[in-house]
Amino acid sequence: MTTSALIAVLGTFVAAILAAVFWTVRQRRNLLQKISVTEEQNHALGERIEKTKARLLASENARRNLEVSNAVTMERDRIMREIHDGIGSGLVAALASAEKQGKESSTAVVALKGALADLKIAVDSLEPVEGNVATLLASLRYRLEPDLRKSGIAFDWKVDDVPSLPWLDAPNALHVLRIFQESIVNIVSHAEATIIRVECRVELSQSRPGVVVAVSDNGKGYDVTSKSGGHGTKNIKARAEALGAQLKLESEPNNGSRTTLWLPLIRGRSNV
Amino acid sequence: MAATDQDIVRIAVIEDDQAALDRVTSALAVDPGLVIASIARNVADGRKLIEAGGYDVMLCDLGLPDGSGITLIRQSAKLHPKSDVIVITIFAEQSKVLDSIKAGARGFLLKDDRFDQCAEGIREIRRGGSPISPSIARQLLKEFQPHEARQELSEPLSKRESEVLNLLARGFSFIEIGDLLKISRSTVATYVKNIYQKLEVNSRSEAVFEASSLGIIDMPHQGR
Repeated sequence: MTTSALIAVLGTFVAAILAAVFWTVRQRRNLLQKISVTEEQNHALGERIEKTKARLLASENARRNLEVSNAVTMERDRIMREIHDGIGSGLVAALASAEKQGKESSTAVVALKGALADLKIAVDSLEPVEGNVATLLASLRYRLEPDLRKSGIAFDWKVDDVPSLPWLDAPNALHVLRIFQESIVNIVSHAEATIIRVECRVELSQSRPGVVVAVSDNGKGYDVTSKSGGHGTKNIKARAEALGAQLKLESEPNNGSRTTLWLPLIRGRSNV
Repeated sequence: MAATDQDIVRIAVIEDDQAALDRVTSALAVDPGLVIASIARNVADGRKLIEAGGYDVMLCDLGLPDGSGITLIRQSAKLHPKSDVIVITIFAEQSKVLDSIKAGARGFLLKDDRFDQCAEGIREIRRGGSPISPSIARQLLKEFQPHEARQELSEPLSKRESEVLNLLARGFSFIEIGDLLKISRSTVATYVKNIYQKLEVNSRSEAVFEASSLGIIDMPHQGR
């Protein structure tokens, strides 16, 4: 074998090895690249799935909230229609015919008027007032004032522009309305008052923000410690408790009475 | 002032319930100037009544046997803009009253145990004032609020009108508001009527805006 032939064989051999090594390295690099691309893709896909999941959850929550609010509106409309076309028209018709009969039905007239007044206030609690206590008190004045005027009682109206209470839905609005309906009816029937003062303003209680409502009169007062419950105080207390509100009943002989209700701006978990 | 208590007011009544009709008739008898000119008991007859015209005030019930009184209110407001449409309702629920006002009504009367005072209510509206309840005032404040999703209101509230609405929503009477703002009671009542008119105009232009953006109607081009 000549030297040149040996070199040629060796050269070919080395070239073949080099080519093999080169090929293997490239294959490996390609493989590694492919793996890393796949990993990146997997990661991106994972992120997209998470994002889509979050979006789905958000839209599902929004849908559910909308459903709840639609259901509330529909239910309110249904009850309104029921009251209006059914009980309401019936009461008005019964009242009209009872009034026609004259004296014999005077107790029926009183009872029917009372029922109609109660029904109107229940309707008011269903109206959307944006959780505004001032507007609730205003509705009560709107409904009660014509009868009060007949009894010679005037309102002294001191109602500030107060913020809405986000938690004040229809059932809670009815509690507020009934508490003050009860106290005003008590004043009209027992206190011999001439003025009912209604105050409403923002007030802190133990450094919590809230809205305070006070209804007071210049009548003869009553015994606050009396347990007879003749003034419907039991009812008022139960409603205040359901509201998570603070209630204060004050009165002095010959020095009028005062019902104060403090409502929190935000209701704690314990009240929910 | 356009009308005095001596003026004869011709009244059209659209009401299906006979008992309620009887109550209107006897309630209006206290004021000899208030004359019932025509009566209809359903939407079909109501349409004919409105076409015939000849009334200054239309009292309209909403729940009629063959449809809603709202369509009649719209028709009357269009054909006889000088006549006042008054809705008669038991509770004055805000949704019904607001829909009526958007259709062109100028007030409501409560069809309840105080219906016997409706003669005074009609005179008040003829004098240029309109009744309002606190919850309706609260809802109106919301309706007139600037809203992102819609075009500018064509008739926004003036500062004074917002003040009046805010006080009404808090339960102050026309007289108390007059004292607080140093204006007369009748001016307060006129503000309410203006606010009702603006609500009607806005809801009409909003309906046009919505229809044109949906491609339902063509907006007239300028100069055509």
